Amino acid sequence: MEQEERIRSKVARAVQLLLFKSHRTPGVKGWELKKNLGPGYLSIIKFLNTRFQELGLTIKIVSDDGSELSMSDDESKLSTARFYVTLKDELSLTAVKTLGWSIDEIAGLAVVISTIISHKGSAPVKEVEEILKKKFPEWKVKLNLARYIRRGYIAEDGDNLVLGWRTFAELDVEKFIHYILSA
Amino acid sequence: MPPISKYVELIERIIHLCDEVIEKNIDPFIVDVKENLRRLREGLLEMDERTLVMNMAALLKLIYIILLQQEDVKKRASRLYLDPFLMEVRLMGLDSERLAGAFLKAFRPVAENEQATMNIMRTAYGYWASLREYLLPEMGEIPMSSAINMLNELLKMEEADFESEMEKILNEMGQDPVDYYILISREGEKRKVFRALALSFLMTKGLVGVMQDPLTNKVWVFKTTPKDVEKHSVALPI
Repeated sequence: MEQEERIRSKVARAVQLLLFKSHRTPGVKGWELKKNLGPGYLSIIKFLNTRFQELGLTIKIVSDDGSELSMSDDESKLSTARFYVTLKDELSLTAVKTLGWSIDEIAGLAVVISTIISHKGSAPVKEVEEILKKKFPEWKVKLNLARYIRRGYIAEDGDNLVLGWRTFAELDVEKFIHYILSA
Repeated sequence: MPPISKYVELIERIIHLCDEVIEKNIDPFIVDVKENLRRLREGLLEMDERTLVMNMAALLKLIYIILLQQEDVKKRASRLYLDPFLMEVRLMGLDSERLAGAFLKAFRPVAENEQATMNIMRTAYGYWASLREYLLPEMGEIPMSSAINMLNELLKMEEADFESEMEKILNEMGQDPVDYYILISREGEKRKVFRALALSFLMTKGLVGVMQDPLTNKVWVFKTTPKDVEKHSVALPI
């Protein structure tokens, strides 16, 4: 009974760590989970993941270089990776409007990310702006780019734009490119 | 045979070209590695020590360019390789709805819950400070700048001050519910915002509960333990 209570409190703590933003970025590092939940933290996370999946959510693990990891990956990799809770299934166009994004803003983000990927992960800001201006009103271009940067989808690297932490956390890049090419 | 200064100039040009390619992520194949290696080899025996070191640095840059070229070849061979021009043509051919549709198929947003931290408060302060000419509608004649100054004072405090304020408020509260507004105003108007913020953290931690009387609009707070609290979010204007 006491053990059950202890596990329950660890699961509650894991939910708190995963969902509440205590840093600039959401999610939590593997080593932080280990520190708070103990060496068996992965069992807690696995259990929590099954409960989350019933609610249409899932736990996603992203390494420092942006690649997705699984819970069976090496402990040292998981330790520095970030654990996020993301939606499990696809969002509809109508549902995404409730997140505060317009279709044009999402389309703009799709253009920016595709352009960066086609430039091998780093595209000149000016070039990205020029492409956006061909599709969207000029006054919106800089505003939208600033928003994508603020939200963490892209980041500035000198005069270039690179993919940000949020793109790696929220987007399956390979699938995205496949869908763009086959749309 | 060119004099040493000519070698220096040549080496500097090679280094500069390599740096441009490396830093600006330009196509690495614009560097003719074979030709540049031949130039670096020329006059090797006549170079003084300093020029030889520069030659070595240029050689290292060329090695890095070879590495970039190798990576480029690998990427081009992979199915993910996309030519920027072809991608642009593709993007121009899609309307906003189809672009957004393709994005959403691969998009799984992160579920996150915002909470006020000192960092977020500092960012918020920066935002309001830049709008200091405006008045807060509910503050009547009090200029925005005085509210900003109050917040500024508050933000100078360290997390440790904050922790001790939270502890102090918790100790002030007895077993019976206390009127929220009386509790936060107990140390005067100047500390009201700070105490409200500290109290909100106690509520988030589940150490303080809130009761609202919808008829009288009174708000009561009481000491509790985390598991007794039924979690919900309450906005309390101060």
